[in-house]
Amino acid sequence: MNSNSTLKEQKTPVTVLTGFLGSGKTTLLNYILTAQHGKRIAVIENEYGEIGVDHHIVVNSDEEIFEMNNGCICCTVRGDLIRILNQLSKKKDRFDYVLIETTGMADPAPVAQTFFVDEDIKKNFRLDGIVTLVDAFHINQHWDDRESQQQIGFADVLLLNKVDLVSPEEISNLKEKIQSLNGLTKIHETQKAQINLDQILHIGGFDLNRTLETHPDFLDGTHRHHHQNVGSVGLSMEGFVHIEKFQAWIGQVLQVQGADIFRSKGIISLPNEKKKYVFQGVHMQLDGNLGPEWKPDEKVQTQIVFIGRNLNREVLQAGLNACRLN
Amino acid sequence: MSTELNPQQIPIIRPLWLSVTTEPVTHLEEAQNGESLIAGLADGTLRQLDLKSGETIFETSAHSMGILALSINSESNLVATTGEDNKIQIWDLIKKKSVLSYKAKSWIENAKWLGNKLFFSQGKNLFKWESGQTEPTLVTSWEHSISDFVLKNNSELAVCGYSRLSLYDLDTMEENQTFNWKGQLFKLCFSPNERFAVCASNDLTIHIWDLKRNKDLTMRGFVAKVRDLHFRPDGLYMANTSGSEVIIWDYMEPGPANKKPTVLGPLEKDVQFVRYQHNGKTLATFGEDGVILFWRPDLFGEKPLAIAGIRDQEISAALWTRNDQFVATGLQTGYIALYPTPEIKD
Repeated sequence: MNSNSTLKEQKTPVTVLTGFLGSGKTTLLNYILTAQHGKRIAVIENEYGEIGVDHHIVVNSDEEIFEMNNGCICCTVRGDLIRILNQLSKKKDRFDYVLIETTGMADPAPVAQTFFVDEDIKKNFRLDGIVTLVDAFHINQHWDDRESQQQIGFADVLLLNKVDLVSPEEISNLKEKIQSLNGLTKIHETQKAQINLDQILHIGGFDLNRTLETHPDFLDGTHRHHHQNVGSVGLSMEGFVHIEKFQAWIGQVLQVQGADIFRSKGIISLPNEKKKYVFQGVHMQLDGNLGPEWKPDEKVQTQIVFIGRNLNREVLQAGLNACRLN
Repeated sequence: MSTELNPQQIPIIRPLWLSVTTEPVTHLEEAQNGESLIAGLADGTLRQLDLKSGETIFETSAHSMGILALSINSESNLVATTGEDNKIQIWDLIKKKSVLSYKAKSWIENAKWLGNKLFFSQGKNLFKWESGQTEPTLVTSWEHSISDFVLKNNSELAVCGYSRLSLYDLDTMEENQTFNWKGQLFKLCFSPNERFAVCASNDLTIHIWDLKRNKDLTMRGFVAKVRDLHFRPDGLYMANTSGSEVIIWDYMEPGPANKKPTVLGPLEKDVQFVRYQHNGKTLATFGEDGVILFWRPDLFGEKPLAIAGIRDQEISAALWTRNDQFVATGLQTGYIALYPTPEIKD
């Protein structure tokens, strides 16, 4: 009798692996599946490969992208993931983590949006983070490609792989360029995609609290780099927000700029509420709920991060400031 | 059975038997002869149970990993299963052995016997297998994946997926008709008179095509995604789930448009399945909290007439037996249970 499978409320965490062809995704996947970590992982991979694993579920899938009929111009989802994850949700006790491998040229948005839009997926799964592999030796050839910038822009964790093939100076330059695109991503240098799995699984990439723990100075403005048109912007505002004004403002930002905003994360300070309101979003899709309580010694403030194209920090900060409850 | 199951003092139906497995029960069907149940388990096991006693008659490791689809041929003793091992198997329940095994490139997520032909979908492709064939035949290939398919009028195959419902001639597989809707259509059924084609869509709607009047209709306003829908066998009503509510639509002439539906609930938890009895009298609803409720809206209005189930044991498969005497459920926790139909004087 399977006694621990009564009505589980807990959502299964999901990590998305992105990166160009040859960046080391398959190597990392094989490493994860063969490493002794005690997790039972369901892998959804895009190639018809045979990975010899006994205690993991490996599913081959063709990426199938379609538009959601919800009035949102940029809301595309992965139909194959909806099908497969719904099948997997019937067997929740047989795995405790899901890994999704995307094709090299894939835009991570449809994958991420699937977790915001489909009701059953939202109910059973939690997008833990997006891990992007970057080939340190070849990335400069693809640096200006739209796909490269999207994959870096979406990354919660970035593995700068094949660092043994480039000089320390090149690594340092690359890191700076990556940070200029996405100031919140955590960069690890790797060879043959070898990494402690604690660095890529259960990272809470869609949780701004946890993200700021690794980037404590992000919101103070020191990371306001911009490369070409892609960059990351951190906003903060002390005090409480006026809820109606805030909803109107964030709705307007996403309506107008949603197609350009890869990711958004935020912690909102609501009046008469002991708990923080936390939200996360991909393009125009936003999802949020009450999170942990404010600590007694914690500064009550609203913090928001946007990563995307053509972001104007001053305008966004002014918009947020206008939402302060007087 | 817990007394807390029933805070409103509704009559409780107790199970006739419980069968225990070690794995979640993902599929449950009644065998063609009506004397046994066939269960598919999350570890790939296929189990045949005696309907009267619940004892296991036959068990085999049908797949090395979980079962994805299970379908029983209504005209023979053949059972088709597909699994996470990418295989499709056909089993002879009399000979107790596999009579066909075929390995695909990826998951076969849906398989159904339509007469003596077995149809199965693998992503964007639909295949057919008939007796005597060693390999299945590709029937059609779509731009997007195929979600569901059913037989219409014994002469047409209806197939739905993203943005499309298509009707094919069953013999020639030529496309007779296509209807479009910009959304993912994932669950398909026809009214028993085959006038209405009804699809649940991912966008919290039900889309209906009135084939007689060549009109389409969208039902909106559902509080949650419609997971299941089922017509009463006389075709006068259709029930669907939406979160913790069950909605019953009046399909009497001229159809459901502009009629106020009956809403049962909200119940305590989301409803997974709705099933009318074959004689159409009673509706059973199966909740993710393990609660089975029996309804007779014509006699009891919006109050259930009886309750059954095991609290907090998620129901993953459910059916009425064809003789209407029993309801069977498979649970995520590995139980298979059989309940008698509640007795009621009309």
